[in-house]
Amino acid sequence: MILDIDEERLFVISDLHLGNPASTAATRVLPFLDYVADEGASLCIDGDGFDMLQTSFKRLVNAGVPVLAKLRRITANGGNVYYVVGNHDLVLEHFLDSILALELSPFLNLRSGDARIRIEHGHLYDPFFARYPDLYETATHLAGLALFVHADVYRGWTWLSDKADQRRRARAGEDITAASYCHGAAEMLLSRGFDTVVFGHTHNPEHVQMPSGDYVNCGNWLRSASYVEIDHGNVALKKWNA
Amino acid sequence: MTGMRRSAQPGDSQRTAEAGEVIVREGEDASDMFVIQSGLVEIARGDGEDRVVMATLRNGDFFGEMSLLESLPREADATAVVRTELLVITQGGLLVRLRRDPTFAIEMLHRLSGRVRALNAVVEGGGPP
Repeated sequence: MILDIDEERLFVISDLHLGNPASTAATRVLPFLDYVADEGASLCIDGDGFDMLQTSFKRLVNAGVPVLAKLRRITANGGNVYYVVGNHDLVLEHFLDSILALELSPFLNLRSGDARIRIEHGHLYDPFFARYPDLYETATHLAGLALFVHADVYRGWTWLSDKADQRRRARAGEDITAASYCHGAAEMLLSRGFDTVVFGHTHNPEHVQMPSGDYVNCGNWLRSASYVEIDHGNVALKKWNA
Repeated sequence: MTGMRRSAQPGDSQRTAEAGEVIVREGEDASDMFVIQSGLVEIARGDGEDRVVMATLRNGDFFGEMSLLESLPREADATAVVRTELLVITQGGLLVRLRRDPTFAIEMLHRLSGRVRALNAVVEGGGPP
């Protein structure tokens, strides 16, 4: 199981949900992966890259095969490709170590420059997932059926999720660690000696200064295109505009 | 890095060790473990000319977990090389942390497995650790 890695230049993306009816990542991410390969850098897919819960085999193959070809291009150019398992691809835990061109991990502890960075999907701290994993999976399957009927159901989910997030942040006031379970978990990990914590899962890209370090969320590629660039320990959240 | 890190978990506490300060001594009874939040810590056994430095640990690394898990005396000295901030985890605190921070258990197992592998290599090679 790979947990500790050293990379001076690493790009991190998450939540592509390849194969999901709501995802438009399959074609949009290909030029980004070419960019990473041309830079000779490494890539980490920080969970929910392939959507095993809300898809069909045909959709998964159609969306996944061109992406895997690009990932092989990254490794051919000298980069590494890491895949951190998320909640929509939990079944990949059975393939921890290496599959195709990917190094699969539950989380990564990265050394880059002088910085120590934790890269993790973040679903383990989601109270719904932690308390009721089976109900969570069933609800996700049911939501997947709704997405097959109309992919824009995702917009409604995003709207509701944003509203709940705003309410939580308002209640938290100035205590940023109470703004969400992700902020609380990030602070907990930062207190263990990490300089930066990178999560996915929420689909909400953000870079927040916490009391003990930085919390960065990669956002998503379902309908958006944000990524994290780590260069000799410097961490930046960016938007892909190509 | 930002200023003083917080302990973030109930049951945990923090400690600052100045450069050269011995954090734990070989043979002493104690059951806390330490996570290095910032700084450097040297792990060594023996005294004087017999002193052997076994490892130098940095932020994110941890030590003292053997005493915590087995309630046995310390196996080695741990000394701060530079001013070092530490997260101190008690036995009860570890249980709280594992419930809230499940990946910490995987990291501990990963480290312990690495140490067993290193010791096996020493035994097979017939050399001193």
